[in-house]
Amino acid sequence: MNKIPRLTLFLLTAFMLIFIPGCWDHVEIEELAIVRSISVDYIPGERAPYFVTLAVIRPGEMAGGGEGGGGGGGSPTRLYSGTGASLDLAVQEATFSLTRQLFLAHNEVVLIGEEAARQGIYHIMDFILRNAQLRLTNSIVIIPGTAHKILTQTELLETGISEEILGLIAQEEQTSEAVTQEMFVMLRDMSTPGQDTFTAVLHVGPQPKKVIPEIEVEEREDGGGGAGGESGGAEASEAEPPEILTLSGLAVFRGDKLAGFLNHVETRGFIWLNGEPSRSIIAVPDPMDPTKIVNISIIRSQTTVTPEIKDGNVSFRVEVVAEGDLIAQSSLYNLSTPAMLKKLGSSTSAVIKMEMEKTLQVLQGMEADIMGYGASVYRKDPKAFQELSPWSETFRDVTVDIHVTAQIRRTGQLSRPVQLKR
Amino acid sequence: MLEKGKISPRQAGELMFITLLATVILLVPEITADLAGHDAWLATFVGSLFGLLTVGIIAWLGLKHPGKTIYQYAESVLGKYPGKLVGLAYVWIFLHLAAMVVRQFGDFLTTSFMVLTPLSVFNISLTALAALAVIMGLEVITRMSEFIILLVVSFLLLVITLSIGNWELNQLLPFMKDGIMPVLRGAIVPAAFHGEIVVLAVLIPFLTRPKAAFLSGTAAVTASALLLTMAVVGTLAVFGPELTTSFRFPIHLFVRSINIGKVLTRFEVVVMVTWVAGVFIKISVLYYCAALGTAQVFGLSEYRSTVLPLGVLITALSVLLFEDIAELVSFLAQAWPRFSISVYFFGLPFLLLLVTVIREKIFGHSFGGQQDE
Repeated sequence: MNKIPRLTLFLLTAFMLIFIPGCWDHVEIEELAIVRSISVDYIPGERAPYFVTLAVIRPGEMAGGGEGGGGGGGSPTRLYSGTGASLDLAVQEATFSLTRQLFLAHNEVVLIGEEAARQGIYHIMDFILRNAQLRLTNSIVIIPGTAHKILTQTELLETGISEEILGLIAQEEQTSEAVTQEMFVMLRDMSTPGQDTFTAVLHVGPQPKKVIPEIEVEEREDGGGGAGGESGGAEASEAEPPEILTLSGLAVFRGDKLAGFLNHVETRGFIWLNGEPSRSIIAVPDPMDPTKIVNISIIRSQTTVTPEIKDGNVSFRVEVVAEGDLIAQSSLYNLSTPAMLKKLGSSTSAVIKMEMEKTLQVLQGMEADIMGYGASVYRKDPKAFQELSPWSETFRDVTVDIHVTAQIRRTGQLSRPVQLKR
Repeated sequence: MLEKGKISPRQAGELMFITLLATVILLVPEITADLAGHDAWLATFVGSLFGLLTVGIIAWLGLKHPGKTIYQYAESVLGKYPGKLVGLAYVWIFLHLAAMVVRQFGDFLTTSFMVLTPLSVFNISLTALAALAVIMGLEVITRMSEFIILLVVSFLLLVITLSIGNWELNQLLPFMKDGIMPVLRGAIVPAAFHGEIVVLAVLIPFLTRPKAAFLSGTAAVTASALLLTMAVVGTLAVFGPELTTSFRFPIHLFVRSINIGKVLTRFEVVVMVTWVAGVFIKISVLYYCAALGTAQVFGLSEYRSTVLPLGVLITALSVLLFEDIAELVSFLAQAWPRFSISVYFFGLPFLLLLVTVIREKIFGHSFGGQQDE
């Protein structure tokens, strides 16, 4: 090291100090417009049909800084919208009003409006995939109507709209009857022969039950699970209940185009059909008193699909093994005997089977094989699958043999109902 | 001898392993999945093991001509001028390979991380760093590889393990839908990448125990084949063959798809760092072989004087060889495997072996024990 003069060494080190610590090209977090969710809408008939809204978080507001001024309604999220003939153009237009550098790497959810989904979602995925910042683990959620209105919601439990949506998605196994898929999983489905894809539906609307006036006798409804007509909030009460976000149901795709929606009961049928992890509560009639109901919470279930290919014809055998707990009953009969639990198990099986058949019928009507039954044929016998193409038409009329075995294992903290004195 | 350093067989094995794995993992899944579909993992494994054939020939030649690199024994086997020609051919292939590796990595960085930075920035800085390593000599490169191998292997195993939650092994089915041919077609690209083990022919004389060369080469090829196959299985299981083919760098997106509880996520930066390190070793090795070869073919007394001009060539070639990324990938998928395997990884070594045997058996010439200064 003696060969290099000290001054040269010093100057060299000083010179390197400019580049090596990374200050040369620094970007501070305050200079970034961090996008957490994007909504995409499609307006038919326009020359620039894609309408994109970026939900940008303001870190200062989230940390409670007084920088933004107006404290009261100071939303931690700012929305920037743009229109364009493609997604990139629309995003570019949205950035015209940004004072910061667009930063998409922390985006986690893409909301796609109904019309955009009908036009085809591949175009949107292409945008996400090619962008070096955007991640393919983005969740995709479909919105009936326009997606933009979701981002404008203010009735939130979380600090920002993006966190609200992400919370809904993160808790869906516990709280919703919906299955949100990450983008790459949807894309994998779409590129697998004999498989269509799906993802969850996010609604915005008034809370399903109108506020009950205090004077009225409280009317108990045990387990509205089987009912399904919860969208009846349209009957406008005088004091308009605030609109909230609800994650429920599935959007079904054929290819990359939206084919239709499943409501939450049909979604439960799909959960059985596909063996998705989910906790749900179903209502079965009381074996002692058919006017009363018993609620069963399904703890775990397993689904096995076996394709049976016989000289050019294919049929499926679907076996579901479910395990549940008795969580509520409205009668006072002791249902905790082995015989009763067996009976409850078989009626639970019957309910599950009925829900599965109903869902299957709907899906066959849409010609959308989101369980990937075709893919299971393709994997077992690719030549037979070739002969059955186009699969969507074969799927429409395919026979599916459903067998359900449900067992009730536990009865909660009660061994039998408390016998009240008359 | 131009190189005074000595490395142990284990170090050589580690050096070879990183040299093989560094780039193969970046582009090969895409190309093999295109050719072999659901069976890409099998194609990868079978193809990778082709490297063993090269190792066998090279190790045999190395033992037959102790203390000599391929440049030197090419001359003693084929005669002065034909031998020099073969030596020059190898100098060229190492140079070409180094340039391609530099280009692949530059393209990877500009595609996936720093979109706005010009390609030449990465190429020049990587080559300059490698030039420094080459000037320092073989022992320095080897010791660096000993440290970097820990990073490369542990991070690769880590991301493969963490991705298991995303796996859908059904994507590997149906098995051999169209018979064995697509598998063999897909195997040729990993085979070409593992043929790069031919650099061992330059390193054998510097081993402390040249007899162990076959063992260390075999270990390097097998380990690389296994790790690469695991990565391809993972990529296929997460994305399926169709998506794997569509992606430019499937393994990068594979790492990006890991998202466990929003905590164990964004590993791509860590992985990128280890890849930069691995690619740096690879380029250093190839660059070193080219520099040493130039010196030996032209009978120079020092190989270090060739480092600078070769570095300029590598940088220039890395930018000029391909117009765009599509050209790079189609060259690697189509032209490169046939040309490199038939000439450099199998053809020429086999020719040297044949001539050695013929001259020994028929003409009674003896190569064994002949020591050159």
